[in-house]
Amino acid sequence: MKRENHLEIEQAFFEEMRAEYCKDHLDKFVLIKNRETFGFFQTEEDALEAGIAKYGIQPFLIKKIVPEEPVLDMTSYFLGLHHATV
Amino acid sequence: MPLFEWEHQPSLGKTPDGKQVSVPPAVLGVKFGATFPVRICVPPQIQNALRQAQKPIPPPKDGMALIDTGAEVSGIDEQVCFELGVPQVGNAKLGHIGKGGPEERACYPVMIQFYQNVLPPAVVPNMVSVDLVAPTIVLLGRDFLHGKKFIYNGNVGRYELCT
Repeated sequence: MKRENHLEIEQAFFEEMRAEYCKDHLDKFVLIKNRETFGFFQTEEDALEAGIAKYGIQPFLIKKIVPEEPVLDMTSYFLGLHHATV
Repeated sequence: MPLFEWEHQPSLGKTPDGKQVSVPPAVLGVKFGATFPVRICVPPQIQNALRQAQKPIPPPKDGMALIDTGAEVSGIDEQVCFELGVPQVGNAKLGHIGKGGPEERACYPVMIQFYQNVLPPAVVPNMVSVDLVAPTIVLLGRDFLHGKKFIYNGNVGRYELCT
């Protein structure tokens, strides 16, 4: 089942801008809405605060600026071990 | 001095032939793992925005947290996020084992309150969503355990979290 992604536009814009962002804002957090860069922040909390103040309770993208998208490991979750019966 | 200690309590269960028995904590530990009660709430920043907009604040969701040493990051049940009405604020790629390619999951801002406030409430601005089975509503991964000592005593179904 394909999940609804409310941030496809923002995610695509971030990928276009990733290399540019990395030049001056590496390891900071960027706040994006539609195809607009709202600003850069030292912490995710600051970005969240600013995003809610600007956009209210609607989706916006907070992304850490790194050269490549990390792939996170949740091994036991994907092996279905939480639902295993004995 | 531990931050908190949790021990499974003996519970009533049934044998396959219907006989009622007391299930010891050690067995409950095997079955359920290191779990403890938590409450997931709308973060304060969003609560303030809702108040200003004169909109109701969705009630918190109670459930169990599972300490998952097999997870690099913590995860929140996505259905809980839908019920809290928090907006999507990110995406993350989760690696699959044995399947083709990583899975992209939405991320949401949540606040986690721990039972009896044994730990201060934690606002997680961008928590990865996962699909869990009730009563588990959050997985606490190695990011949560970072900087802490976790002791799991399988003999008695008891565990401690220490700094």
